[in-house]
Amino acid sequence: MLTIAGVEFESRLFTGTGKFRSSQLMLESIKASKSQLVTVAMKRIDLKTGADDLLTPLRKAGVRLLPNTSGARNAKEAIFAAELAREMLGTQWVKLEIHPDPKYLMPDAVETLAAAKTLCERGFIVMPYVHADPVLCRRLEEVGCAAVMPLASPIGTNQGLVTESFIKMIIEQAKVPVVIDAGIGAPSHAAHAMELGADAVLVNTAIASSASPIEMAQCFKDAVDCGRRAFEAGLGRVQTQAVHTSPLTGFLQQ
Amino acid sequence: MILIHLNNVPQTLQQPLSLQALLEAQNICQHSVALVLNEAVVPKHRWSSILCHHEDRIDVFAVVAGG
Repeated sequence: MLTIAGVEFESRLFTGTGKFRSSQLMLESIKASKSQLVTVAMKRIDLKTGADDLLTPLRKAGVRLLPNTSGARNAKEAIFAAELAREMLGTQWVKLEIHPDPKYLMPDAVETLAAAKTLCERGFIVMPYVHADPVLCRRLEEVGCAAVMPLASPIGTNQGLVTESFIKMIIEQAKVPVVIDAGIGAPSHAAHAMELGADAVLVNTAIASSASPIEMAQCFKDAVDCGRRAFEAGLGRVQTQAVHTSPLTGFLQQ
Repeated sequence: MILIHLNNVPQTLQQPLSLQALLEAQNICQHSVALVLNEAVVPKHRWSSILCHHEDRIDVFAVVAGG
C-alpha cells in the first residue's frame, strides 16, 4: 500500500478538482475514480457573488484534501499560500507549485527548493510539483519533502510521458514516493507511468475535460490499478534482438 | 468613520467592527474561509477579538477547484 507521511492510500490515483463543467460532475467523477487525495486551490472570494461551498461536499466524500499553492510566483508567496491553506483547512499537507511562466507553466526550481526547505522546517507535509529533474528531486528529498511530483509534460496538455527518461531516473533514485503530475492525458499514459514504478499519478484535465468525466475517471482507476499490478508482477526485459518463443527445431524440413 | 479595503474593495464602517462581525455583516460563510489582515494570516480563534482599524487591508480567501 502507498504510504505518504505515515498516511496509507489504497488508491494510487490522485485527482484534481479543476475544469469540471459542474461541481456535481466533479464530485461524481472523484467518487468513480476512488481517489483518496484530491487537490484544491485558493482564491480571494468575490464579495458580490460569495464563494461556492466546495469544502462541505468534498469532506462528505471522505477524501483527504491537498491544497496547492497555485498562483504563487515565488517562494515567499508559496509559503504564504501554504500558511493560508493550513489555517483554512486545518491540514499540514500542501502541493507546492510555483510557476511564474504563464505560457508553459514550468515550475521554478530555485524558488520551489527554497520554499520546500522553509515549509518542511515549519512542519508541513510538502509535495512539490517540479520538472522531471533527478537532481532537484534528490535535493527536495534531502530538505524533507514527503514526496516528489515530477511533471510528465506541461500542465493540461495531455501529451503524456514526454519526460519518461528522467522519470525513470527519479524513480530509481527516490527514497520518497514519486507522484507523476501534469500532462497525463490518457489512461494508457497513467498505466505506463505505473508500469515504470511510479508510486501514484495525479490526473485532472484528462478526466475533467472528457466528454464523459465519470466514465473517464473509472478508466483511469482501472489503468492505474493495472499498471501497478504489472509493475509488481515484473515486466519482461526489453531486448534489441529477437528471442524465439517457440522451439526452432526446423521440423518442417526434417 | 473607518475606511478599510476588503478584498481590494474600499468600504467604510460607521463603527469599529471585529473581523468576525465584519464577515457576518458581509454574509461570508466563516467555516470555509481564511482571513488575512495586512498581509498576515489571522487564526480563526482571534477573529472575534481583533477590531478593524482605519486603512486596514483585509483579504478573505476560500477554497476553489484546482489541480
